[in-house]
Amino acid sequence: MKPIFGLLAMAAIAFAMPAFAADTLYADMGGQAVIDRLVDVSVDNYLADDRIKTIFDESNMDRIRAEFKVQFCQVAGGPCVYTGHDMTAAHKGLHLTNADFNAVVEDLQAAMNTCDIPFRVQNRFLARLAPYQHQVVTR
Amino acid sequence: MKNILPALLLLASCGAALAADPAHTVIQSGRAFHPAEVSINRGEALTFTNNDEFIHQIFVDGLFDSDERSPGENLTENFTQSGTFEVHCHIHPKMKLIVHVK
Repeated sequence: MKPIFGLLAMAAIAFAMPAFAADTLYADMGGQAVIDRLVDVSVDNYLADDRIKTIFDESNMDRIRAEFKVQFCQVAGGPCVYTGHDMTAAHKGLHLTNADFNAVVEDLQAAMNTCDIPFRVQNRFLARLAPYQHQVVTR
Repeated sequence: MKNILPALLLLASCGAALAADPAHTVIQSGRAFHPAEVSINRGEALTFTNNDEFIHQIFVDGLFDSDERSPGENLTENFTQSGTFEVHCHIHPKMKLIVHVK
């Protein structure tokens, strides 16, 4: 009975999760205009954050902003297609820690508040970013 | 025999230059070019070896703009015009290489 219950639970979760075609997160966040603003505000937060700002010392910030805008759009289920390098390759040399990742998330949450993205929508977006932690944190 | 010896020495020196070719290789490491300045002859090529932990690319304004290269990969660019050129990386703007093409 237990295995059947497990399968039923998984099926229930699968049905409860929005299918790609019915993905509303991109629209719920406010579309590309809000995502573009969210990236600009969050990057400004990173550069002002003493905990992580040195990570970006050697980087082309215009390029990073442009790539984030495409990537956030795709993660939110929008019409963009991110064609950059995978997260592991892009972050390998930075030797990021969990503390770095958590600081990035905090700054992103602050930016979402600034952009008036509703709390429940914020959580849906953060849930989609969470799997990247294992790809970018290397120490 | 006296005439053959200089010719052999010349051939040997050319062979050594082609084999080592240090003047035509630039290493990318620590988000910098090594060396930071090189001199080559017009028509010669530079090979860029990415020995870094980061992805790099190279460009010279108005001359070329390369694809990105992962660690461990090489790329080669020909310099067909004389002059002094600044090579940069779009990803890491502080990287700068001066190339003197004679």
